[in-house]
Amino acid sequence: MLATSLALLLGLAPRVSAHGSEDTSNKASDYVRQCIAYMVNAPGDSDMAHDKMHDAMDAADKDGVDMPDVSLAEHAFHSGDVHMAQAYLEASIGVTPHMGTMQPAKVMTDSMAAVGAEPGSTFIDQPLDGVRNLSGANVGALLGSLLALVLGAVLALRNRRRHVEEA
Amino acid sequence: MASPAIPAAKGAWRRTLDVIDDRLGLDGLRYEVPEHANNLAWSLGGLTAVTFLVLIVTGVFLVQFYSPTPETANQSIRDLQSGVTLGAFVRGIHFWAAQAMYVLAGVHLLRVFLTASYKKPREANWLIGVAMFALVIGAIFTGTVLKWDQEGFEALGHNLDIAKVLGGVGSFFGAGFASNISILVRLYGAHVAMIPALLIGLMVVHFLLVKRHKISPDPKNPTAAGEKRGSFTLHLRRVAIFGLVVIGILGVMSVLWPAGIGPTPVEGVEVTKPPWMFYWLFGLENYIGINGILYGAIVFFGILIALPFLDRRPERYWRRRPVAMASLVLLLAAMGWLSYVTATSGMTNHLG
Repeated sequence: MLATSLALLLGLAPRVSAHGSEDTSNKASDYVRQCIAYMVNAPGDSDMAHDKMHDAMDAADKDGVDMPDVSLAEHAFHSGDVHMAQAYLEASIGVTPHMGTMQPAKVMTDSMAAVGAEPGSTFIDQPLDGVRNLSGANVGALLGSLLALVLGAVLALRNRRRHVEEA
Repeated sequence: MASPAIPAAKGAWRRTLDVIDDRLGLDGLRYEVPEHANNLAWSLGGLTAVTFLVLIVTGVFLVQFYSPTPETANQSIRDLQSGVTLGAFVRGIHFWAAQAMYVLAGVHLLRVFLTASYKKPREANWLIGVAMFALVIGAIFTGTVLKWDQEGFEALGHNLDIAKVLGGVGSFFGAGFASNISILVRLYGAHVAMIPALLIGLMVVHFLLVKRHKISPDPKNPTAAGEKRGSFTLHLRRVAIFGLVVIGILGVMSVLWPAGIGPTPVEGVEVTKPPWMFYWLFGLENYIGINGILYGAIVFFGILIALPFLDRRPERYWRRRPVAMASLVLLLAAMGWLSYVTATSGMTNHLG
């Protein structure tokens, strides 16, 4: 049954598009945001970011985007300075560049709350990786966890021995 | 004439327990279970319940600081991580406990399969277990979306696409069902109320049916000949002890490998992979498109649901069930291979 199901799935199911494959836009601002998303989420994959930058330049609707900044971003990108490229892209849509010390400015001009499946992102934040912090309360939490682990293991072994002896 | 034996005086602790038992009937938990019920393999269901308890306790803490709107959700988690005492630790425990619950529930299902404990008269309880496993996956999915980072947003996108494929049936899961509010708010409701409530309800029935049908026999000793019997409270004590180990491991992992969060989401890109338990479905999508996720889930759960009705022979020992074992190996190999392909391939290879 399983093999048949898999064969049916792989062989006979209609080949359709994957998630997101039909997403297209004519807005340069969308492509700038997507370009930044690639830079932030996949810093090792420059091709996709580059394509999005060109999509932004070719987009029919350039409202809300400072195109000279996009051109500067492209130059910076080609010269290998990805951070500067990202900063120019952020500036092009009104976001305070991530290299600055100020809080990023909001890029949403509409004050309405996001509805449906809208992302509602006002700026593209950097990833916040889990940082191992062995200080203060975390040390207590670690010691408490280790105590629970050891106590549980000792009790399990002791209980098991008794369990075997009784059997 | 011998004088009657005088019963030993009860201690204060015993008397207190008796008072409570008179009111709550806790003595009903002292029903007999076979000795093998206290093995780790037969305690996996109880351990799954322990991780669920951990998730509820840590979840109650997290909802105090989480803001379920698209504009603020991601930032509220960052604030929790950096500005709340032990916030990152508690979130880390929640993060790892969710994965532990998935693994323990999966291994529990596997143990029930290997010992054929789904067979008559326990078919209904098997189906309840399968439903709970589906709810666990639903909880992990909604929890992933709640982070409202790129990974969570892309996971949501897949869900919305599948809702479209389902047409009218899937409209409830789509963003258009209540288009005046964000779907994040609806998924938050599902994550903190609907799914836990369903899980608790099914868990109660699951436990009652375990009591009614008794612990399933050890296939090596189906008549329980010569096997000692003990109280269910002893089994609970064993589960509590194992649970202490699990909680300790979760705490250590939370400190040493804390949970992170990705960037705020952007529409129209697909740049992240899903959590590892969805890798095999993600791999299927590579082969046959978005429908692959739907078909994969239908086939997987279809097999689990049909199992007790297809395999009705009384034989319970795994070595004498070659068809069942071969099917299991094939299923796990297919899922493992698809997961491996997803894990080792870059996002540029993902269809789309």
